[in-house]
Amino acid sequence: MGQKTDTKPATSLTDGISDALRRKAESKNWPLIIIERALKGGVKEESLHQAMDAGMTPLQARQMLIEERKIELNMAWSKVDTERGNRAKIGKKGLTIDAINIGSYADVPDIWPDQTMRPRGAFVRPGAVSMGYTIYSKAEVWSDNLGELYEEAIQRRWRPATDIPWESISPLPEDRERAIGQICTELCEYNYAVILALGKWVREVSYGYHEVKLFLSTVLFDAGRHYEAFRKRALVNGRGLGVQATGDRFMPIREALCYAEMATVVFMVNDSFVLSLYQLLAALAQNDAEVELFTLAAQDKARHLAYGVDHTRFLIEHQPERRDEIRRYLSKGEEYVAKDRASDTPMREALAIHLGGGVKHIGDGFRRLDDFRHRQLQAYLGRVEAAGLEDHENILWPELAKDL
Amino acid sequence: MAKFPSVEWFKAIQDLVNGDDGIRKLGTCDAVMGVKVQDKAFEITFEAFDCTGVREISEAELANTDFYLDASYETWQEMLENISQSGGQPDRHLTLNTIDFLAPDGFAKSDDQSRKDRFYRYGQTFQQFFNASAEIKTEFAVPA
Repeated sequence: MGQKTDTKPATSLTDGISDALRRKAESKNWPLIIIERALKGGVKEESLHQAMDAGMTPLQARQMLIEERKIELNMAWSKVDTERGNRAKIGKKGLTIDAINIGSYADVPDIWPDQTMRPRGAFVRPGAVSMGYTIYSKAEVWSDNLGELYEEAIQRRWRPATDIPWESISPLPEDRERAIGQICTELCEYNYAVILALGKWVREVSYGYHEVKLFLSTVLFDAGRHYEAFRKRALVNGRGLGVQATGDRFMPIREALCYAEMATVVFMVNDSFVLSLYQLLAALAQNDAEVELFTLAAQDKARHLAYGVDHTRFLIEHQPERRDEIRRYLSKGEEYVAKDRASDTPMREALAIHLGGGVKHIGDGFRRLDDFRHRQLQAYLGRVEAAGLEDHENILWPELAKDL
Repeated sequence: MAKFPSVEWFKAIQDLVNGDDGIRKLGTCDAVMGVKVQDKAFEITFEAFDCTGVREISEAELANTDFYLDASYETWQEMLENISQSGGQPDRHLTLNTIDFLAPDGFAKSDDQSRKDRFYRYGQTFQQFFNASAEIKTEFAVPA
């Protein structure tokens, strides 16, 4: 050292920095912004001279300022009146979304009053902006098994690229290959319709019901995975896709005007028929890949149905005046499933070939298709009854009732 | 050697699957499965990653299960022998799902369709449960 430091502030100041301090900062390669911030933060000019003379780098100076600023924090945010002290229990399934629903955090109100993204149980910040949700009614979207279903979806997920033994698929006769290609083409389209519908509705649900948003996100992902997997099945053997579906059954899904309508048409009507189809395809699989593929898809679909049935039951129990409304949605879904069947010759014939064991036995295949339709309908009616709508067979859409 | 059907036989399977990483990797399973073999009935409980209970029950108690598997003794024997001979990978026509699909009245039964749907929801887990029987010697004995 030995050198005398000019620590006396000069009278000439620019941006609060004396000429002497400015000259020294420039000679020591200290950015002036650091000098300015330090002075505003209450650091004395003399201390800055000493720091530069002592060889402190600009980076060290900046770190020192950050540390000082931390000390100045008032921590007001940490003193807000949210509930504390309830420790979550980690159970056999780990720390689940239901396990952290404790104390007031478990309170899911019938009407959620907040239009913002505020997580349930967080302190309200005045002035937070509205996110434009349209669903604030618990009954519209809720079911009591949502947490369980969400965790299960995460636990039982699968990877089409590596979990399906694709190498087990050997060339099938042309008619059988064409049939499975057609079926997979239409299943791809159905899953795409589900993606479109849920993509639209999941954003409408307010954050008071985060379990709904979480579960619907898994359904979206499942539908994407099914689309991927069925497309792979159609293309893995080099035989390709079939013809586009008529798409009648997608119309009420696309045109649903409220969440309950969409959920009824997707999770009660269409998914019910689709689950039976997955079971058929797993049962009549021609290789281990198809067994695995359709068994896994059926597991996912049965989970979606578990929501559909419980959601419908919850809605009717809490808003019994909507019972007839839900029946109308069921009828609308049934009407379009029936229209679809009547107009969809490719799917009907592909299923008959699959069930008969080839185009030579298509007559037998059509007879088996009638039996399958009967069982498919019985399972559907069973789910409607489980949801709390008894005797639905008496008002079943007439074209479908023929399968009873 | 364990006799089928018996509590001992199901407990042997329970011990095998509870120590099996493969079945754990399939994910959680919450279901009460019934098994009906002629006039014998059993209840097998699955909770989270484990098979947590096996007991013999009355036929009437099958109504308390989510679903119960009901087939002729010959079908049970054919299925289990096939699983044993194939090292735990049954032929496609002898999977639980295919037997259910091909049987006119089904293999999985319940008065409540939404509870029966657990048969499909955890299909792989139940299949793995029975596939594990390939690791034990089974004595087939028609219940009296």
